[in-house]
Amino acid sequence: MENLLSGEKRQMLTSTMVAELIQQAKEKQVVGCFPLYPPVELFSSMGLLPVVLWNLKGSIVNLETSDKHIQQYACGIARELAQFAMSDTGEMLDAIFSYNACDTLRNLPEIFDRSNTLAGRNIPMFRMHLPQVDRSQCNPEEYLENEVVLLIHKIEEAFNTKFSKELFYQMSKKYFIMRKLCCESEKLVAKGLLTFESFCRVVLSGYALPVETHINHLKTLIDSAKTDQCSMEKKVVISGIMPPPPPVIQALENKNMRVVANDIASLSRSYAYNPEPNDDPIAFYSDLYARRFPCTTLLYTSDARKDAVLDMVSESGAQGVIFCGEKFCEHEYFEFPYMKKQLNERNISTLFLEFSADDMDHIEAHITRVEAFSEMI
Amino acid sequence: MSTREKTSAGKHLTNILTKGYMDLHQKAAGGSFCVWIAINVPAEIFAGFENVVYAVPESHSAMCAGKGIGAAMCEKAENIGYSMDLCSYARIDIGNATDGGKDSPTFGLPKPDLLVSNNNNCSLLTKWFDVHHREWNVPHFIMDIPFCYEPQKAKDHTYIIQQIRDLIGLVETLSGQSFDVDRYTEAVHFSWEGIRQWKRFLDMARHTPSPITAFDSFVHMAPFLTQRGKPVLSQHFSLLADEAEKRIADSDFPVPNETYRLFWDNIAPWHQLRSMSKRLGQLNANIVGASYTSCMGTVEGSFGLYEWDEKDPFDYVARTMNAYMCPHGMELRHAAMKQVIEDLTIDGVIFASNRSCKPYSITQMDQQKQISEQLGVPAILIEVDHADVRKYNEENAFVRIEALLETIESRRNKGHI
Amino acid sequence: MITAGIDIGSISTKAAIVKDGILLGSVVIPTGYNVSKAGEKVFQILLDQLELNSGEVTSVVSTGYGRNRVEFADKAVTEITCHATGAYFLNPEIRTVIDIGGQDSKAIVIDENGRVMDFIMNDKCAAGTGRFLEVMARAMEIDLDEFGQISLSARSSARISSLCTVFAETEVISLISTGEPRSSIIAGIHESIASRVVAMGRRIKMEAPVVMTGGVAKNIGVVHAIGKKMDSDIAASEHAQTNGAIGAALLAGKNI
Repeated sequence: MENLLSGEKRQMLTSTMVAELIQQAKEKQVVGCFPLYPPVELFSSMGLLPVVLWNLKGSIVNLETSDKHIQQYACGIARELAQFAMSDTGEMLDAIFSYNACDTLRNLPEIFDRSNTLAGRNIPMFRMHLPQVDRSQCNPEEYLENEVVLLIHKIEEAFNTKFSKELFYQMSKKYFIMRKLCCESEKLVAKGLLTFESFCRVVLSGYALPVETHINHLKTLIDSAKTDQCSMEKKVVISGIMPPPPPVIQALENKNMRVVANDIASLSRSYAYNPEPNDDPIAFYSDLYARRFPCTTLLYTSDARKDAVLDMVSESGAQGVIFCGEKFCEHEYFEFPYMKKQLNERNISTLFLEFSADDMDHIEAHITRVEAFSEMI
Repeated sequence: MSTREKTSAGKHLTNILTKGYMDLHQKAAGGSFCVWIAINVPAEIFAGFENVVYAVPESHSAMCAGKGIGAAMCEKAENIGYSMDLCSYARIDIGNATDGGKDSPTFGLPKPDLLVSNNNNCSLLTKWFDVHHREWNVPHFIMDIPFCYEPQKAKDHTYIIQQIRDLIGLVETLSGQSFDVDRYTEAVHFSWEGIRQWKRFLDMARHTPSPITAFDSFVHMAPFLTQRGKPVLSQHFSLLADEAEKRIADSDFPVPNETYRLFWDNIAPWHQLRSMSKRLGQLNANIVGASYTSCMGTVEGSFGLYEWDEKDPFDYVARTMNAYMCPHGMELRHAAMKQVIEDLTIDGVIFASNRSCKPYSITQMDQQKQISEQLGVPAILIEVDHADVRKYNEENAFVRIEALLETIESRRNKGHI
Repeated sequence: MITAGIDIGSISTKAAIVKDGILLGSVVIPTGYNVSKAGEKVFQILLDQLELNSGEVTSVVSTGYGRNRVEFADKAVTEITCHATGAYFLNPEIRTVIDIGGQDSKAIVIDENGRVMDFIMNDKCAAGTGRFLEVMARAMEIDLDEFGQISLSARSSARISSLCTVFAETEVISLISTGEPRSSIIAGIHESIASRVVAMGRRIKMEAPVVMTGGVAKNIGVVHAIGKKMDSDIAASEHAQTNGAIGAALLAGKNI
């Protein structure tokens, strides 16, 4: 827990948020969830605190433990996740949840499990296989239903708790409100009334907080919005798995670029589709996973992605798109050349940035690219 | 390992591969329905149709790398914006598609009518096939195969069979041909016959010195990918196994003074087969087996042959699907390796950390520790890339390999080199 | 109107002064450890050379990696925009600028009005930069300035397959030990850097004519290797090192 505090200066979690998280971790049992889209509503409804393990730069000191277990050509998200889960910080986790998000993430659970076993810790490992078949070719509903049921049984068994339809309904309602507030704040950023930097900080902090607290932070954020709109700005869309690091966002906003929409996995791909509250987790997840905003990691959404991003760009009136590459993420990298071509054909400028785990040393070079892009569009 | 003259199995291999690619091109040009598949897709399905052929881009990429043109073909993909960090098989294949297979030893592959990926191979393969799917507007079927952390579960087995049936339905619709289950069953039989001969061949490595090297198995596995479901498989592999048997009888061994018996974990370093085997031979070292070539016809957790009762081909194919090549958990991989170390009396293990294959490579650092700490077998990790020579450094790799041999030697002599 | 541009790079600092669209002069000094001092110093040296005083200079634009540390500058503009402006000023026909500096390399495509259409910079790997050449020169124990000339006498070029600087260094060392002629090793090194830079540039549809700027443009071997790889004639800018500063000085005269 100490490391969480010491990391605060460098990254997005503020000291109040960290203090809240520590408090919550004492009161509740924490499920460390692998990115990107775990069933957080379910964990919350069963009295657990799901913490989605990305955006961890601020809570780790280095990557030494990770480097003992996984190669450096794994992406930054995986390396930070490994560092977090297998060093002292991992002690706050009472269970770990993973699903088949990508080739790297599917290999990590057993490395963690072995490391925990060797350290004498017996931590339940929850897993789910998210069906990735193309829904026009195969029907995955029955399989997904079974996966959700099995997961509920495993949680009940591990934590001696009971699933309740009523509580699930309550929780899905809270997440509904949370996602709605995310969308509202995004619109304020698009109008130039909130900075993208503060928006990212608050939305990302939600991955480590109870949804109720997150809702309060989002409300505070919305209340802090300016009322007078400023003009003369350049409009851009940002795309990627994570938003760029804060200094790059600052450079972007200082150079009069306004983020009018985002296609970021930890931001809009997570909240843009907002399923109605429901007391049936099977119906809820079958709808959520089928209709979630397209993501490069959801293999079955790839056909829908081009149109979704192009619509986003044209509706927001963006002049440029900034792709934030998570180095070594094949899912994203196989699509960049195609997306770039599609956008350039529509006279939308594109900029490609590449971020990796040890990137803070190269931040100046990224800032130069962002500034040059602003001069160009 | 000396550079031997091409054996009759070697010649046979060249013949069947050349004929295979020629047939493929001719049939596709003549209107056959052409499917591109990932290596884990059960190609026997296509034999159930009158006129469906299949191509395997991964195998084609490996061949290009083996012929020394991998890096040049990767560059073609890099030139149109694909990152150097992407899998080199994918870059070779995408590069090859940019100019219609101009530099390919097989004149590339005929354009597909359907792409079938398998995300248990790796999910990046689905993204890679999507590149063609978008470029050529060709349908793409994703086989979604749950990863096995534990032996395959009934729910997953059922889900796989459902998908095989959905795939068959899709091919029927797209090709206008109907599926004949008897022809399919016959094809699975041919593969099964081939697999048994293959196992017989690999088991020859139990003999000390070994009549075979892992490099032989790397080279000869190609028909397994491109000729699945055909009688030629068992013909070829029985020829290969017979040859190895004869070598034992004749005391004609690839590494005559075989002193170190090694095991390889990962895809073959296609661009290094000749130079690596030669250099190892000079050191009296033989890589006698590899996880990559041992898993056909097995199930997760063991390299032993999974016996088929020759009844239900759907059941069999779905059951063995998780073992092609590595897509199962670390503990299962460790269990299989532990057994093979005993069976083949392995002195040391080379974990080839392969930048182009994260599914195979991420877990190797822990596996290496498990092998050396729990089993007391020396193991090293070297850096390779299966098809991009630009990411491989021979000196760097051999310093580690030679250090491994010294460790083995020093243990034999109780610390005295 | 007299305007000035200051370009602070990782290794050298450059200044240029322009009067009504005419280049009055430029100067290059090493950057050293104190970036803001280097900016002041290079400006003063150039003013002295041209017998001007700072009051006569209407506007100053800074560029390069130290651009935000030039306190007397009116504005900071990235080297991308400055290189495009400088190259276009020196030859309005130019459509692509390839700039290889000590720490980074970039390709910039410009339109018929000299505006940046697209650009790309190297990732953090050093393989396509001046740093790669420095490492190789050290491995070969040859002065880097001699590289260009020596490579011209090569009858063939050695194959250096690794793109990683560290791997390539061991390859070069083993080539030396196998007795490969040094001219052919150097030619191989130039081809390696050229293939990396051209591969990067191809992603943004470079068009001819192409001009090369940056310190590495002084190396004729690299210029030839890039030209060969692109199958097109490439001119090394006469003002290879000061092109960015010239662009900055011109931009200082415009409201960008």
